[in-house]
Amino acid sequence: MSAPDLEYAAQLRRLVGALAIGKNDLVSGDISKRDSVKQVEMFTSGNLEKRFDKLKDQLELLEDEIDELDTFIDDYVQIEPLQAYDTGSSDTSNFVKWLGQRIDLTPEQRDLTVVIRSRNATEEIGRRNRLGHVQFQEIRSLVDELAPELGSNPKLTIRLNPIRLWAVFESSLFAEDEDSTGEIEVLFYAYENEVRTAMLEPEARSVLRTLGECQPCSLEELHERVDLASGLSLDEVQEILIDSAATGIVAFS
Amino acid sequence: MTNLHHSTLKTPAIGYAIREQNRPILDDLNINAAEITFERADDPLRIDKFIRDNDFDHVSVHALKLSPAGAQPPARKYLEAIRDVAIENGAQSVSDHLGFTRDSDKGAELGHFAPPPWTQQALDATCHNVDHIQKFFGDTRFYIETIAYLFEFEGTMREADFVASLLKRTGCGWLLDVTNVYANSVNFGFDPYEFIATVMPHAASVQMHLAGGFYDEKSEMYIDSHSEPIPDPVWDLYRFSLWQGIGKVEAVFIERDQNFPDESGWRSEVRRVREIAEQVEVPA
Repeated sequence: MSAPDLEYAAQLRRLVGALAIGKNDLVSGDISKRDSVKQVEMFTSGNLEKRFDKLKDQLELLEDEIDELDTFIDDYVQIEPLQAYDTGSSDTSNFVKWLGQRIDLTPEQRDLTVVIRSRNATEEIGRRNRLGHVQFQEIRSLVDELAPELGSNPKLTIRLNPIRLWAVFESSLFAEDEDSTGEIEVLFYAYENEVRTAMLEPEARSVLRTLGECQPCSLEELHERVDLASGLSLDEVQEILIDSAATGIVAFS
Repeated sequence: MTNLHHSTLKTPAIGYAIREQNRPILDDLNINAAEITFERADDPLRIDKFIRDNDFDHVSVHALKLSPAGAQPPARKYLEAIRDVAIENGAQSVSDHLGFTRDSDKGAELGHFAPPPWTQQALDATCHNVDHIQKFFGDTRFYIETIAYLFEFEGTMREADFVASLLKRTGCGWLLDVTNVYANSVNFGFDPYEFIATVMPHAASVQMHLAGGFYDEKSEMYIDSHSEPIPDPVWDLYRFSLWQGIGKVEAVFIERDQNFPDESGWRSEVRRVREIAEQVEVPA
């Protein structure tokens, strides 16, 4: 970079550093002599309000669970600047990480932040592997047609949704069994253009993890591996796959 | 659409910046263009094309974060994401705003574009970035949009001269937001006709934006809110701009983001955009 380029880069660093968090007075010497800091404030307050509204909208899940959530969001947007190339969801993920450092969250509150971060992370996986996502969703549209062939057509291959993420809940907030204790593994995955969640039985988790290692593969190949890991029968594996296909976690081709 | 074109000169392609609210009327016979706001189309889990089954003569992808007046060119990942949306939707052009939105690739983001200082340093950096953007997009023409701003940084040249130099040096297209020029002229006291007449000769190709805002009594500023019908002074300026850019205006898009009109409102505004364009292209 030439000296003028470096100078311009330094100028923008200073301006953005101030404007991104509404420190308007810091640019008073940079604006046209005809203009006032009040005009700068109109610009930055509009930006911060939009950021606040977007965060509030995306953090709806936490609204009834965190006291004074609005105050925290307000603090956050005035302390932490938006990151370059924010995709919309990255600011939300950064906020919940920031919140976790500011206050002691209960296990239930932490699980809610896991939901928010996992949804965003699943979208990011989709962003990085868009072709894989589109191809899988195309194949998935054939599930109703091909599912009856599972077990009878040896050429049928089984594929696991490539846009998936395993996460762990530490509380029983989302557990179907209210008395359940201990960590619960949960699968976040893409279904068309949304992120869905599945809480699976240990047997199903085992089948899907094994499928992740050998896919695309036939039912026979998959069962051989599952048998070694968990001793499930072919019928049991087949039943798990049919259920998983119905929810969009696996597909056949 | 060709039966609507009576002139030997080419009438610009005309349409809306796509919003969910105007999708039902995108098959209107007066519409043969569409603008896709990249940040709306950039759903990582999208399956369908953003324009769906609509067929347009001209599609443009309008980005918000290329930050052409930034200190460095945009990140390749962001450029590639725009290109993906452009290819999926058969876009002929890409555009973004003459402003900066961040300090660096790994730094902070403003959330909205700010005008650069009208200085030689900013001009050189912007030309460098636009060259980089144009090289990346190749045959997909890049247009730079003049923005509406609430304040200016101290500079050493007029905005019109900055824009004219940028167009001359880079050969990029000009996305003339007629309403933005009108808003800035009201707020900062210059002649919008002179601004357009100064810049237009240097534009190789032109797109236009039209929108309506309101005059805020409290701040004594015209706010480009995209929330109102296109006001009369903007219609007049639009007609003037078409004359100034005759033969090189590729597309005109109406932007509306709030207080959405009913169906007849959507249809009548785009019809008027076309009628004026055809009057200009077919001199009496």
